[in-house]
Amino acid sequence: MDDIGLPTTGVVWSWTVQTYEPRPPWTPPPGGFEPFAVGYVDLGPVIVESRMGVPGSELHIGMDVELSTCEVPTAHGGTRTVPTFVAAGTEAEVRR
Amino acid sequence: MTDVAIIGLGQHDFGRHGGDVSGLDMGAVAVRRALADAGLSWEDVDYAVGGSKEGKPDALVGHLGLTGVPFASVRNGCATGGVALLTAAHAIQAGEADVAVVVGFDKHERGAFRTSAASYGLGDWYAEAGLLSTPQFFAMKTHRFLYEQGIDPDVLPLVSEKAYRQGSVTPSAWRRKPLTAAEIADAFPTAPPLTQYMLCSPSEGAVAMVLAPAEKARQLTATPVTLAGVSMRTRQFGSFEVFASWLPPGDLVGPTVQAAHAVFERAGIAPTDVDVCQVQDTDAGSELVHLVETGLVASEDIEDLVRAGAFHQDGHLPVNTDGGCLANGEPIGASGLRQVHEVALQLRGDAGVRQVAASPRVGFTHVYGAPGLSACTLLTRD
Repeated sequence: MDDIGLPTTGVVWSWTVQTYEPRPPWTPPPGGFEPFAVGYVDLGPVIVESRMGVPGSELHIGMDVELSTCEVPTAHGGTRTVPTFVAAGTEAEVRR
Repeated sequence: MTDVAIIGLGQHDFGRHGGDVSGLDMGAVAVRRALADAGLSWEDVDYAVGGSKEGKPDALVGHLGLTGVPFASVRNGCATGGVALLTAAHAIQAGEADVAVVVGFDKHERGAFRTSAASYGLGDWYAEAGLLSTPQFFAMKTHRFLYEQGIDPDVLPLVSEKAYRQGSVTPSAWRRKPLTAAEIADAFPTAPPLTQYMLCSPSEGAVAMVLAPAEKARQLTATPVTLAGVSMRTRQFGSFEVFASWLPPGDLVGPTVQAAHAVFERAGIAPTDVDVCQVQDTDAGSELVHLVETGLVASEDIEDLVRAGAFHQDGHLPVNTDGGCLANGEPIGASGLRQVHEVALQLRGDAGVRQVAASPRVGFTHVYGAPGLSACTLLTRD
């Protein structure tokens, strides 16, 4: 198997919002649960599922997004970095 | 190969029953009712199959009788009931059994389904990132379907409205209160585009049926229902399933398409022959997606048909006349059998106030489960 690089920009293929606290091993951040968006992003060679750093009120299928990262708590304490996608052209990294 | 008939139907009410009623208790009640309906006793049973996510179906022998009967247990996500039926039908077809009992039951805890990432081949990252949630899949699949078909999301409340109206005339259903489309649309948006009344909830319930070779069935009952076909398929490459962390580009064809095609082909029946049906309505959008994926309805027609009431009890193709998963909740082991139970009642003419007119002769059921499998049945009346 080979590793291949993927585009860092794509188009929202579908999305929704997680509006209630998921079960463990999902771990709430220090401030407690807040709703977050998730979606599928069409990068061209593949469509990936991901956290979305765009509020549900702004998300729409067909929207241009670009790769970013966010930190999520792990079940064993600490955090891990996961991909997220923000509106194309956003400068700042989303920290949610 | 021997033809299979359904000669007994039994069910325990769906809903929330409290701590004194276990999954096994409900399963035993359903089996006893199905046997009574068939005019048989547990001692007559020479093969049994049970399906449950939370429970151990073969433990039912402790409730029903230690006859030593072969009793297989099945776990296939929300498709469990359909696969249990398939397994029992195979035993009859192979000549291994003359009287087979199929039972499905579950008693889920409150709240969303508890799942394990590892059991789906996913790492902890998937759950920690907040992706391990079944409603997300159904919301996103519905969202994409509406977009691709150019369908206005305001059809979704109409699907739920039908479900709760049918639930109000189904004594065994959980949700008995009708709701208007406006109440459904204005409810809390649990997983956009779905509001809380557009998503089924885990619940409790049990269904059982008795199968026999078609020849024997005619001696035992005046109203045998023939199991004209039953099929099951798992996903192939290029399908969009629950907990899919990635998808290939291009057309995505799921196991519902393949399972439905297989059952129509096996039975020699066309989708246009179906008079009454059940399709998996995990959410309001899924009912529409599955009507299209099974080949029952063309994608270009579905929006107009929903608005015209074509899927109502008095419509051209009644769908989920007992309120489906939306009104009954989703006890995983039981739902696939609840679908067959309702369609069989319709074919017998025993559905009471829910009876569809014009003597239905061909019924169809479809169930879908994570991580991507589907089971379909075709039932016919002599």
